[in-house]
Amino acid sequence: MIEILEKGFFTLPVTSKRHTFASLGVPAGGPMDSFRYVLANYLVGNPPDTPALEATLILPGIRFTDRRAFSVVGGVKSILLLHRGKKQLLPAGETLFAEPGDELLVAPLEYGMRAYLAISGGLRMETFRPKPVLKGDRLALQPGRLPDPRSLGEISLPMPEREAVLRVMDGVQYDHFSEDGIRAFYNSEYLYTPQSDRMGIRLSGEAVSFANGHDGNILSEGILMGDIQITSSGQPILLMADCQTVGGYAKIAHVIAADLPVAAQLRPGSKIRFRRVDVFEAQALLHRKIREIGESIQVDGLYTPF
Amino acid sequence: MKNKLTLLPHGDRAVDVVFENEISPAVNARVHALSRAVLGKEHPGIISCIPGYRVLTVEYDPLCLTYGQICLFLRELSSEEKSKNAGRIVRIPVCYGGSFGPDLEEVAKHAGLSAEEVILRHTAPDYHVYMLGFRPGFPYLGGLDPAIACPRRATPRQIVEQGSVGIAGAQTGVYPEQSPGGWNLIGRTPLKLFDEKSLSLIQPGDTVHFEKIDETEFKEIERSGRGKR
Repeated sequence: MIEILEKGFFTLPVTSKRHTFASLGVPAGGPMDSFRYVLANYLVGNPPDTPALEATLILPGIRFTDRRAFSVVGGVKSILLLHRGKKQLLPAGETLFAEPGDELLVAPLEYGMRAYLAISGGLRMETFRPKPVLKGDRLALQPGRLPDPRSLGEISLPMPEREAVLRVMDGVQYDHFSEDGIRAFYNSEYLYTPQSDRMGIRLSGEAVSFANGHDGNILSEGILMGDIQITSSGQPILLMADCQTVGGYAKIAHVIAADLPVAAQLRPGSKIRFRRVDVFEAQALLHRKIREIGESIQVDGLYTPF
Repeated sequence: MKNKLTLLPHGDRAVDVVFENEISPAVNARVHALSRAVLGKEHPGIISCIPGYRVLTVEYDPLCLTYGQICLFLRELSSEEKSKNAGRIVRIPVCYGGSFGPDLEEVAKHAGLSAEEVILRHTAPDYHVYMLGFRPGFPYLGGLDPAIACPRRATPRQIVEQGSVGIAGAQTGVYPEQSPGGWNLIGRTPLKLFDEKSLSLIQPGDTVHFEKIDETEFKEIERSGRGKR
């Protein structure tokens, strides 16, 4: 078990194990940055889709009640562990060990938007609609063995600063937009506004206009993380992990899987540009990224769930 | 009936199968038939199928299947697609008016009908369930009598009770759980549309019938736990 001493800003139990209820209107959910989530689990010897905590902007304070391996991936270079009344400075991105009574101290993320805290065995998650943790919550763990220590070493993971170029494919309703609208979308810069959350990132910038005969509304159809809808005011919304399952706004583009972790790590106030690729290039880029990650930690064919 | 199937890449990890551009139970039935066929294959590379009015979004794992492979898979399946509607009939008991349906009078006034006539017209049709979405278990129903269509409320309510039955524009629907909302509320059902254990009362492709009950029956269903399923 772990006990939440400080909830941080918004700390959510997540798993990339997908439920099969999208057709019933249940949002997919899951980690925003699946690369770091998988790596956090790797460090503690868990299967890649094991439930872990996703911390937004602030790492929560937690107390361990039993001996566990844990890891923090994203947002910080080191963490503070209170062990028998003494603070220990320990590296993020490595397998760490906690004794009963040890406390991970609350801390703001130094960069990026989200960090993943994995614990050997993993959280026991009995819902597919998790709620953010609160101070005083006690989270049950699954039984797990302590792994041999591992490190992410020199692994290169995308971590944007205050701006990013996201690679996208043309959207399924690409032809609903005017030439000027498409030019605006691909050639201008959009601001990541504070009205953003795990459902979607609202962008603001040059309005995208619709083609003759289109007003941006379509018959509702399936939507997914990475889709970019244009609202009736012409502003883009990038849909993220908790987005609804169907939507009625036309989609101008889709962020490719390889770049979703970049989007997940941007903070409000960041500037975003879009660059076009096709489906073959997008899938090749994903394969290459997964291979790179797998090679740098000497794991063959690291599985990343999408 | 067998029109050409259009496949579109929906990003690098989904394909949209696009049918005729119209809202009709016949077109929508083909979406659900293909969805069942795809899921029936239990392919490890296929993650989810999301039915829309006229589009089936098939989400796949790009590390398992390439775009070319998923397209081939879908084309082969669609040639054996059967559009037989396997949907069930789901009866939803509704207590209309009063505190359960505070906007019933407003909808009646807008339609120039009596409240009783609105109830008659709301309980008459076979509503086709085009899809679920917006909230878990929320049905997109087709078949509302145009005479009782009514624009969304100017000011949405902060709290709409679970089970509330409403009308917004040409649509009618049921709130599966308590939430804010701007629909005109004409009644409430004691049935629970969605929970994590029994999942969704209504499935895509089903037919929904609303049936009028009174407050005593509402309380009885609620108390008997039948509403909890």
